[in-house]
Amino acid sequence: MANRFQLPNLGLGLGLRSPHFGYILENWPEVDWFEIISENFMDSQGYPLAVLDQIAERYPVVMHGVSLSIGSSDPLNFDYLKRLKKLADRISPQWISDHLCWTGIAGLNTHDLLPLPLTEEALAHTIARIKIVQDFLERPLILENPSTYLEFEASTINDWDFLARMAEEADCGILLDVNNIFVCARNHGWNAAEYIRRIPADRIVQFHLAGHEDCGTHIIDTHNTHVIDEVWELYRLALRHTGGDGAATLLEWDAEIPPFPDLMAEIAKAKHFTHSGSGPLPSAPPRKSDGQSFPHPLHIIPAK
Amino acid sequence: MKSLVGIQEWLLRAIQHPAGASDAESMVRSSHGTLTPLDRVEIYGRSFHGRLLQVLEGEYPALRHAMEPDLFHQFASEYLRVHPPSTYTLNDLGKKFPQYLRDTRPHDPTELWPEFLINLATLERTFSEVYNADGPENHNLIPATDTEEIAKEPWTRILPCQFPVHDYFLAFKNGPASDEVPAPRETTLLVYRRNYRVMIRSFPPA
Repeated sequence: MANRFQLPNLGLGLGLRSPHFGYILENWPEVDWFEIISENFMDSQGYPLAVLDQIAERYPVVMHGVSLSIGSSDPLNFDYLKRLKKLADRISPQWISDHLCWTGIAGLNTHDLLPLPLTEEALAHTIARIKIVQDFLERPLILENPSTYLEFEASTINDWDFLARMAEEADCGILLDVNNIFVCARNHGWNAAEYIRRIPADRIVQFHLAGHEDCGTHIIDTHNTHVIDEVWELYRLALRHTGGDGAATLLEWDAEIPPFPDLMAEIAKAKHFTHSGSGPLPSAPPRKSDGQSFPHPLHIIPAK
Repeated sequence: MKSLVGIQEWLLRAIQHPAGASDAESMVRSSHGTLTPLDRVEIYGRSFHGRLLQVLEGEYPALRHAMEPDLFHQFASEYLRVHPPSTYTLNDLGKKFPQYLRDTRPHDPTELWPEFLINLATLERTFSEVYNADGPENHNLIPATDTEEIAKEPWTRILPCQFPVHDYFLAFKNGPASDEVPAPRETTLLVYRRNYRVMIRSFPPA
């Protein structure tokens, strides 16, 4: 089943990270597409933007943001949206995505993807803001389910129902992060398979895959290691849920970033599911936490 | 039931001061696993502080080396308390750090090492800003090679320093890094860009 926006299945992509700029420009590797972190480029007039211009000429690019703060009770930041749109006008991304979360209020930006209370008030608030953003950007917004570490007592709606209703009522797309579903299922006792089955398949535009760390009592979404076997199995389920067409799939790796060919090898494992792959996958056991890693590591481009 | 804004105000306070979130039990579910509501808030609290420290470490690696990590963390933590992030971009996070160091420097005028650290922080911040700012590559012109002409270019930043921090900074970047504070020497630095690379030139040449 194709998504209702007729946005293409771009195949298997990788997150564009600055340690790989040189490798990509020298080798032009056979990657189907790249996802950028929008905030890493929208204020650059230097090398990062020059690299992106070259990459966007050769590969499909998706803009993935972390600062939209769609669920915040603060007013929308139209200066941010103008800069986001300006970058989109420059590189013509396949689509623009962000997270179903909030990052701060009242002058404080935590730069974290904070959980929303899943209430009717929060749902109506988020839907109204998505519509405004979509009108401003003149394209559908694609929103991702984040990893969370707490649930509010005030919540009255399941996470998956909130996501599904939001997508239907705001007429937006879903970036389904399979690893985040696994993380939340462990942290909150959810049924990960049921979560996937409850998401409207025709709203799913993209999948995210990533690694995490197991702290014993909970899981941290660290993006610093391989995708584990159980997440691959959820990915298989998610692909079946979307029908034969699947959806664009992206591997995120944001800390302890390995050489680019290692990332290509990791995302190539997805072919086992998207094509008629056979035989066992190389097993990737869970990584135990040393307590030093942080959720959803921040990625900035350091000056060279 | 609390409103959306009420819950968001509560979580922000709790993240900044998890130990003070005594009402976490009434705000956060504890229906699964062994983590308490406060444990769950503390995951966000540790993350908030730790991730922002990592960003400052990334922007000021030479300063961190010069101060040594423990002292850098003390200053950076207090800086983040006084100047918490307020904008959507992490490029702004360390913007006021050099001025913060100046505002909090010891008042003893005979102590020169604080000025070295402030000069070094200013150079690292300027380096980042020039890296991301407009530059000659975006304009159809022939960049100057003469120092006095470079100083006139609109994207050139001019830094008066009491220490030759550029020598320390470049040694740190290119190795081997020095563990010694250099002797003070009045120096003016030009920080500018060529072919997207940030360049540093002392002015007049030493």
